[in-house]
Amino acid sequence: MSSFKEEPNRRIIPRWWTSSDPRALAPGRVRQSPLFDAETAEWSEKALRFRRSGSSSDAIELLSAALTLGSIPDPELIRAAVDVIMAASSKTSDPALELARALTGSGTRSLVPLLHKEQLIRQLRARLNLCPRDALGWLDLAFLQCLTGNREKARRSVETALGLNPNHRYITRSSVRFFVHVGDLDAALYALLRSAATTTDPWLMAADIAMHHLCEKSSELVRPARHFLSSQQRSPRDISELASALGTLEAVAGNHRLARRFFKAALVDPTENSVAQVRWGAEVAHVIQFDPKLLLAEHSYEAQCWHAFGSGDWNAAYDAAVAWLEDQPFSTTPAILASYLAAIAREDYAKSKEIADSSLAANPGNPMLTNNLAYALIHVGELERSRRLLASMATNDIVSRVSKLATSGLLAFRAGEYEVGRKHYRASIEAAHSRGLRRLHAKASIFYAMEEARLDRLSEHTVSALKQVLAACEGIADADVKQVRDKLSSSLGE
Amino acid sequence: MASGLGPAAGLLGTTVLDGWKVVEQLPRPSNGTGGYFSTGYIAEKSGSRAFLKATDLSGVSASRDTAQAIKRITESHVFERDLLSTCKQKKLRRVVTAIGNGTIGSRPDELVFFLLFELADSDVRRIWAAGEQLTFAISLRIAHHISSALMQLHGIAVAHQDLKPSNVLLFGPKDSKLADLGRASALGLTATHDELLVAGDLSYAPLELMYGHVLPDWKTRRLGCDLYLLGSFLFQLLRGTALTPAVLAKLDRRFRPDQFPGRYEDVLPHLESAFAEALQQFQSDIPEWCASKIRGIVAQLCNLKPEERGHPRNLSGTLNRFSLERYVSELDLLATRAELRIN
Repeated sequence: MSSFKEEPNRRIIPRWWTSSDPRALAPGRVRQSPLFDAETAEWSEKALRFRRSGSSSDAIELLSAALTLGSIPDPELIRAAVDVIMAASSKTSDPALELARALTGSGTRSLVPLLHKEQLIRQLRARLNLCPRDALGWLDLAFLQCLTGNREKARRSVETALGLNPNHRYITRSSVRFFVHVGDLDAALYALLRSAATTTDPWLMAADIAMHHLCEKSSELVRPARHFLSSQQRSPRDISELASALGTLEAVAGNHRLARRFFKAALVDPTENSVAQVRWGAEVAHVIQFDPKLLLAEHSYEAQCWHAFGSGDWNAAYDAAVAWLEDQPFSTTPAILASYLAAIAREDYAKSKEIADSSLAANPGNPMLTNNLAYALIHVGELERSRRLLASMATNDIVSRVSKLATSGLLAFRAGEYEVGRKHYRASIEAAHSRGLRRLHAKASIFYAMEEARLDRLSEHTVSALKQVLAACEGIADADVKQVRDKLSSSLGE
Repeated sequence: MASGLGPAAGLLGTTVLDGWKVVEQLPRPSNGTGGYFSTGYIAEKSGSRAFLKATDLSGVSASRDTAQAIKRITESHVFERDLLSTCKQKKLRRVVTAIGNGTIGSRPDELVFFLLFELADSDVRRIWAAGEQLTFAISLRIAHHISSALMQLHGIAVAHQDLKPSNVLLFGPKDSKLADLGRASALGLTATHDELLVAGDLSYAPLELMYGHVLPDWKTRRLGCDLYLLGSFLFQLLRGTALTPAVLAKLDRRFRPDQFPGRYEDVLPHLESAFAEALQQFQSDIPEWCASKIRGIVAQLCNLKPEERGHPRNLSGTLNRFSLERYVSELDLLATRAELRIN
């Protein structure tokens, strides 16, 4: 059985992107007045020279001036200079083409494409050998190492980056996210502790409060953070995640009015992480109303995904899960959700397999990803591989145990081992029922009934299984349970 | 608004100093640097030719504060004149010095201040603009000469501040010198352009200045700037673009100086990363036998932390941190090896 449920204890842990992503520094503002004017770059002289000569080197001079100025005094002239560079591209050095592209916006330092990770790792390593003080390079290397499942190497890379610059917002926040990813919460807390900026940077204060909350500890920065917010020293964007962190604290403590106040402050100019947190505050913690218009905020994939999931809009949920996974490719939650939705809602088992497989490379041994992959493999006919996976699947919690039993049941049915299949499914149902996991109980019952019906719609086993479904589903209104119930009804031809 | 067509534009045919006759007017830019207009000429005397730079006070009429404008123009001229005189006295062989200087006219509307310089065959910018390429060996030799020029200037506590291809003059196939001290900074002296964040051409400026990060210590700011400009010039000789725009081109728009609102240390990791990428590409363009060495020189000279710029051995030795002595030697050796490989 493939399954998923939203995390009930979401904390606003920092996101992690590669350094080429504009959100990596999250300035949220732009400089109000330029530092320089056109004559500091000797613009007029260079423009005149280029007009007279039309040469590549004068074009490069002009483009350099435009790039350093930031503003373009004469867009048509710049266009002409770009055309000269592009026309001479077989003879013009790469830097000239980069200048041209940077000005036309057709490609600055592009987002690190993750298709050829091993190749990228080699390139980065070569660069770091030449410039070992490139802290962002080390973090990008860690990012790629994470994606290829090399957690120990990633850890060393992260620690190198932190050693080079322990006070930088992006470096500290990304490191925190990494340590959370590998389950080393103490290291995450330490990264924040050692940064001299944590007590004054609202982005780091937010991370500190969220991390302490996650570890069920008290952050010393809660009171200073409240004072910081009330003093209105920073822009709404800069304090958005800090306000979300405080709102979460109050929501969990049952102080709903205070929680609402903080969440509202977080939404004045929210990050997508804040939108996701406030959505949690609304739909899981129930302390605030959630305005669906917030889902329009850029990159709000997580919030969009859960919102669509909760309303039963499976295609939208799937699309958002995939976008979320592309945004945070090392993260397990969107991977589990996307592979689940691909299988259950879209019956695209090949896609489900692809997603789970790829994410398992970044998260070796993750039980739910392993389960979802095993489930997809069964449906694409790779029974033996599924069997091996299930045999190796760890079951450290009840959800993964129930899922594993159910998927094992499915495997047995599809392999023609019906009695074994029934045994596994019944064990799964009983395990969920005995722990009061009503949704899982209902889903396990439904999936079992589907297999019996597939075998023989009119058998005693089928009738018995269907009765069990009715009992298990009573009073459950969750959209995902309804969704699999509808699948069962379809399979029965009703 | 003043058009710049003051008395400095009308010297053709005039004999200015010691028999130097103005024989040719050079095409002028549409505006002088900093709003001050100067006109270039070729002067001749007894078969020798020289470059004459003439400035007048016609730019003053565009200013709101006439007295201040007059003061700025005259101080600027006097500063450059006196600096050139010092360079000549100290026999700074690699710096283009003035043959002479003077003033024409007595009334303010007639006044022309002029400087007479040795005439070069060309400059690096003009070579490139003409579509010509400098060989690898010649490029290294030019870099060696210019590093020597900077070392000579630093030796008299002067920082050039405006090293760029158009200020590197070529005298024949094997000789090059550094020109234009109009933006220089001299320790203990005040120049009107000292108050500018970037004294020279913005397109070549050190990255820390682009983000408004100014260190108060004269050596770190001024000599450190020259080191960066030297490293960038070497980069440009071999790669075709100056280092600053090459690095900025790799940054997302929001991290560039005109957009980024934060402190230099906040954007520094991003700059380091882009710088590392630029150096990696740079190294791949250089012949293997010297790639690592040259890349290392650029990396040290252009260290994005100005307080760490310079040769690592300078930190432990008796030379000052920004000493160029080791670079002059290293570039000389590299240039010689490159020349030997051709011959």
